[in-house]
Amino acid sequence: MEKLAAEYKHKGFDFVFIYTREAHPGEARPHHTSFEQKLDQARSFQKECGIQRPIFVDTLDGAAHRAYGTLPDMLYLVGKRNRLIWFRADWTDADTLQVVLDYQLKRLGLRQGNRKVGPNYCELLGFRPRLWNRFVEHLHSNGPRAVADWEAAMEYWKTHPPRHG
Amino acid sequence: MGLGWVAQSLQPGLVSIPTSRHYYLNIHRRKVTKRPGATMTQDFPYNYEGYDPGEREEMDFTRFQEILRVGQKAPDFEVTRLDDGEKVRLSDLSAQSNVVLEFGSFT
Repeated sequence: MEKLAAEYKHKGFDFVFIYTREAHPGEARPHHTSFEQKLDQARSFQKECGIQRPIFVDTLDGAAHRAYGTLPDMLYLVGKRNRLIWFRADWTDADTLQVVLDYQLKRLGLRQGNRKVGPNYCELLGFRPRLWNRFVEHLHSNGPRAVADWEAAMEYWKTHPPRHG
Repeated sequence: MGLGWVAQSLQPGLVSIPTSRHYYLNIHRRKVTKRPGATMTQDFPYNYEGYDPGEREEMDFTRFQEILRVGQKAPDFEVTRLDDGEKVRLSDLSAQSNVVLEFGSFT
């Protein structure tokens, strides 16, 4: 995502990272109980994960997060001025985003060239790479509780298959 | 407040079973629907202490599918820029440029 953010910033796309609630809280990175704590945790997130793109911290009660659905890793593309949602995904995947950004650039180019374009509705089933190692690493640094909760979830899913495969 | 949710749960093909005081799970569509009067914050606090894959997560997936569509106007919001503590609105950001909105935390 960092690479995309740097590349597409000059093509008219600003990247906004919204820091939300902790999806897998643990002893080292507990759930947020005050806005100051949320800011602090966002700072260590920025540092430890080496995030270069600008981070914005949501309110303590997650007003922005709740307005867009409360999944932990969502991605939206919002058009300039009229704020139309051009693309949304339940999970962030840089490859999908790149395809969409290139497509939109091409279409925006047509519009600027006075070619007529009209909106049409599309859906796409993406296949995101699962970065298990990195995820498990983060779980461990969040604390033993985060790991234990995840292990309990794996047990739960044996009898209640998750919707996300 | 009516008994609409009862009527809804009795529709053929929409067999629903009560799973808690406020929610019922549609086992055919794997869809959790909120009963009138129940709020997300009452039953599932936004900042939860420990991850639990049960009803809350089911609701999160359902909400994502139902809350917005492409082509709709993105809801405006105010967030705090980490670098300088400045309050920023999406409407200000999107006035200048198209915006890629990414949500996330440590995991």
